[in-house]
Amino acid sequence: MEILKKTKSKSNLNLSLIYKNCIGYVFLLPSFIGVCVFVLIPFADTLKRSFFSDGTSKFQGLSIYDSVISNKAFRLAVSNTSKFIVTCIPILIVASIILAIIIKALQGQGEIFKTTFLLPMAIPVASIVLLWRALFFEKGLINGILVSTGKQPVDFMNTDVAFWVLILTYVWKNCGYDVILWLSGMDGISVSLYEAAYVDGAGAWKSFWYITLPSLLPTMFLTVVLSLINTFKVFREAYLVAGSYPHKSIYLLQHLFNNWFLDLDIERMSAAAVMVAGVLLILILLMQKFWNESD
Amino acid sequence: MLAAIILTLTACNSNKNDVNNSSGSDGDPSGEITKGRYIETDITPPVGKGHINYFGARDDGSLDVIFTEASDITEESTEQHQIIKHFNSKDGGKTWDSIPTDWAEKFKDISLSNIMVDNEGSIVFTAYEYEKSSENLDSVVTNQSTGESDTVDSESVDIDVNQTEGEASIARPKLLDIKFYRILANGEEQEIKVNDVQNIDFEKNDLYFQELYIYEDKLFIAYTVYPVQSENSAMVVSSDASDGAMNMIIDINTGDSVGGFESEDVSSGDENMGQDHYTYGYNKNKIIRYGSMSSKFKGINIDDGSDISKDLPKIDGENNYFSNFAFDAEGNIYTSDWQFNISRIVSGGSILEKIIDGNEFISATSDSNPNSMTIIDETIYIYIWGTAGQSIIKMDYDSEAINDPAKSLTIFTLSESESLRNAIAEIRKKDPDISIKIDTPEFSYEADSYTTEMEDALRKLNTEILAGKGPDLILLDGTPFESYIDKGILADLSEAIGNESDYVSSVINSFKTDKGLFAVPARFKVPALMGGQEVEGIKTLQDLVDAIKQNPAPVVKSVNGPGEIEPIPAEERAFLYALTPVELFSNLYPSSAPAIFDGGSINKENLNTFLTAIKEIYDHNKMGDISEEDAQNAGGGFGMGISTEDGKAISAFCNSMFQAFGEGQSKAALENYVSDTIGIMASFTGLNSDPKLYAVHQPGLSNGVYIPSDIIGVVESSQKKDLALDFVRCMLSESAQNYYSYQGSPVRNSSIDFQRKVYDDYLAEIEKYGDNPRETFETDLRSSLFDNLETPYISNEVILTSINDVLDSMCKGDISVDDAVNKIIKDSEIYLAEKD
Repeated sequence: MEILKKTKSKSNLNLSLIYKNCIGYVFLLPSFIGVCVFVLIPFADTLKRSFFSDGTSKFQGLSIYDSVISNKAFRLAVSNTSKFIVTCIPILIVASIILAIIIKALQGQGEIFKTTFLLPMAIPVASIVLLWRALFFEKGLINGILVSTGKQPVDFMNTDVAFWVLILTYVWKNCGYDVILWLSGMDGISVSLYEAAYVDGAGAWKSFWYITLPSLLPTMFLTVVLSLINTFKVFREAYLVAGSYPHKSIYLLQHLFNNWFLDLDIERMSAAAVMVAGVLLILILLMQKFWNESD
Repeated sequence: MLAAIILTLTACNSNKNDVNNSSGSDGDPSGEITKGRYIETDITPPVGKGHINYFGARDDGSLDVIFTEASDITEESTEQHQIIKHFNSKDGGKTWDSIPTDWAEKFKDISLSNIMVDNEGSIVFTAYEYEKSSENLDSVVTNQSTGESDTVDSESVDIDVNQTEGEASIARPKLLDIKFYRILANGEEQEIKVNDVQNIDFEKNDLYFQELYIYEDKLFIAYTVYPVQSENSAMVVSSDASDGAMNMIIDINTGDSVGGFESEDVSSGDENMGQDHYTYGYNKNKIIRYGSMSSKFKGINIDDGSDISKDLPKIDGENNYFSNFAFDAEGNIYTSDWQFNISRIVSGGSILEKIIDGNEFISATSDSNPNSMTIIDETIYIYIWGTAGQSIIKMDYDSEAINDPAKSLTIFTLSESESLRNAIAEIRKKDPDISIKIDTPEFSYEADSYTTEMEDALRKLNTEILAGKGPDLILLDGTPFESYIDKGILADLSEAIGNESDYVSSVINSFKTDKGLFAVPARFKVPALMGGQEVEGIKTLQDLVDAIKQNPAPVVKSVNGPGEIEPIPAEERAFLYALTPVELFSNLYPSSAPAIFDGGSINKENLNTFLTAIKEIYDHNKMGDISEEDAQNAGGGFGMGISTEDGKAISAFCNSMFQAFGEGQSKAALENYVSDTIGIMASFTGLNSDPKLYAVHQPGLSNGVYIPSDIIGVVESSQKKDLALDFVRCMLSESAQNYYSYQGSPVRNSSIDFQRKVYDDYLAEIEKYGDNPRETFETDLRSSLFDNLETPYISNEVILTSINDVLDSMCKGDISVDDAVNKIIKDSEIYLAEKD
């Protein structure tokens, strides 16, 4: 009888657990359907297209991947995109964290800067493009200043300088957003930690190094991932200013995808997208592992 | 994942242009059968060979048509006279009553124009009295805007130009007097005095009347005064000739002016653009005027000349070019444009609401124009004029007419196309229930955004095709159609085109692939070198450079404003009147392009040879010394000029190089040959001392180059493929191909023959009157140019941009030809790598 009771009780527990799990799945379902419809199923289609030729729908094995990897334009785009990510993300992270610390130090007076730094995100791409032209074109403001000070004008958009113009635009546009992320991370650090450190004789630098920075590691993961995703959004600016074929230094993967899509070269575009998505996934998983281990 | 995101996002935007292209009778995109559309009915009265001079409605709802025709030449009567006929319909054009025109006998030898019928049935017109001696007619000029032809007198010519629209009507004999008459319904004749016109000195001035409108005892006229040119000079009009434009309301009892619209100049920034180009409309005692440059309505009351502009709508948007206005009983304004789109502006409103898309007209072929429009109740009546004929049609809205989605075709095109227009008319003649939706992106035509907008349109098209929701047909000009063929997106047209021998074989053959024929150009042009006999010896690019070097550099003529051009002696003429490197490059490149860029790589050696030739011509023609302004002014206006030698006139869409040749400034010209170039050339043969014109394939690095245009393809996945293939058949049918088009010569052999016959008839007609018969040279010319066509030239914007970017600095000597070649290759590197 006792056994029967225990079994019944255990059975009730399982049912309760299953019920609880089901409720969770039900709540997850809309989001899961959305991800399936808008990401997973299209991605599966992309994956399929990367193995089959467009015209004949014949299975091509890895030959499409081989064609993409050996394509000079793809290599250049990968190289430029990697260079862009590797250069701009550290600059953005460092610049935004410095600004966040300054704003935090200013306390109430820093509120206005939060809004100010976010403004670039609210500016439409078309306006940013106009700003680019006003500043960096052959007869733009910067060249006007250079010429008036007796210096040679710089062809910003048709030389390697274009790359740095793109970096500057990216950092300028995204810095405010990252500052907000850092500030929210800082708000989560307990004040008592700083008070204890102060009692133990720690100065500002030591407090930052031993309290603020380690406490911001989870925020850093989020910030880096979001910044990484945002690097792919800078294409619109580059495209609107310099078109489908900009200077070599700012020819990014998105240019290549755009041009292949215009040419309906879907098979190569799909293979390239699968490779890029794979690399990004691995990168993000590695970062996550690193951060988890750090925690 | 990126591709997935791109596909998803672009698919979300795929319908953004649909609203702009919707019209009353489009097939329902949902695929359901809907009801309600306009039905077109031809109500043309029996006008025979006559030309309709007036079509309009009276307040009582009756319609009037007045037309004129020339009497036949018989053994008894060797002179032609003008016959005027008047018809009236009281039942909306179902039946027409003939109204006696005995009054016209008096005017049988006087040129009448601006004829109109008022509400009481009185006929009002302008009578031009010309010098009797000037009756030999030996040149015909076509109004490029309306398609109307006019005859040109060899002794005394004049020119009327509306610069804004490229409208040109040339030539009248020497004008002696202009009078205004009103013929009352009882036949009584009244002369209307217009004191301001009577005071004009016709020895020194000529007049062109644009408008005449009578309401009760007030007459409104709008006209332009031109100074008469000396007999032995050529005149090229390049500035706004409407500087002498006048308008006024006349009290017909006194002949005095009692008001009118104020003259207004239009400015763009600091630049004064001159007078606006106006379209007038009349609604009882209200006269409205719309300025296409200022995009504004103005209005006056004809009774007292008072300003009623404040009651008129202020419509949004610019670049509205209206051909006609009409009014309904509620005072709503109806507009038509040159594409036959009928729109309505509700009284007091500000939105131009399209109610009939131009593609819904069966009679709207490429060479026809809506000449006048009137509304009775809710029926729209339009008089359509084209070189192929004239008609009066009515458009009735039938709320029960079925729009069957199975009979609806969608055609994607990046630009307007005359071939499409003619094919639509053709297929709807066969089945009026077929509806065609033209999916055309709206371009801002600003240099900075044009490429981006075009790519946006192509992205949208590609997304729709991939989603299986694409158009049924694509006009492939400007699209990556070779890629579409490779990817199996287009259907095989081999069966649709029928017998291949019916077409210019070389053009069709070059579009064939191993798998079939997936795209067909409806038209093609042949880049040619035209000029005197010396052009026959020019076979290669080097021959051309040598010929240019053996002749003097061009003497830059400047005709900034109406001016006179004197021909220069043959020994002083340049070989080619090329003044800018861009002009030279764009005209010379097609014949070398296939040898420079083969679709996958750039031939460095050929590019070097081509650019060296450009540089040598630039240096010899001293283009570096010619300012941009001088080069622009020398271009003249709308390719129009009058002979310095015999007063013959030309009016054509030709480039400035060809125009300069006609004006006796150079010995040859580069121009794309199309069938109606024959007409242009006919005029030119009279302009130069050499009576015969020669033409050869444009010398270049490739052989037998031609430029295909209006390339049509059917989407393989179309649900209405059979209907789409029918459309292709209509586009290539004889009747659709017979039309002249600046897009090129027809690809159908019989249509080329038809056009030749039309031209031969035209020559014969001229020779009947003239004392200077022309040679029929076009048969030889055509066979020499149309035979041996081998290579289509499909322009590639990336390569063109790369070359254009270095052209100026190379020509100026800032960089060497070798450096220019290297830079072009470097700039195109990514593009070529992508294709690899």
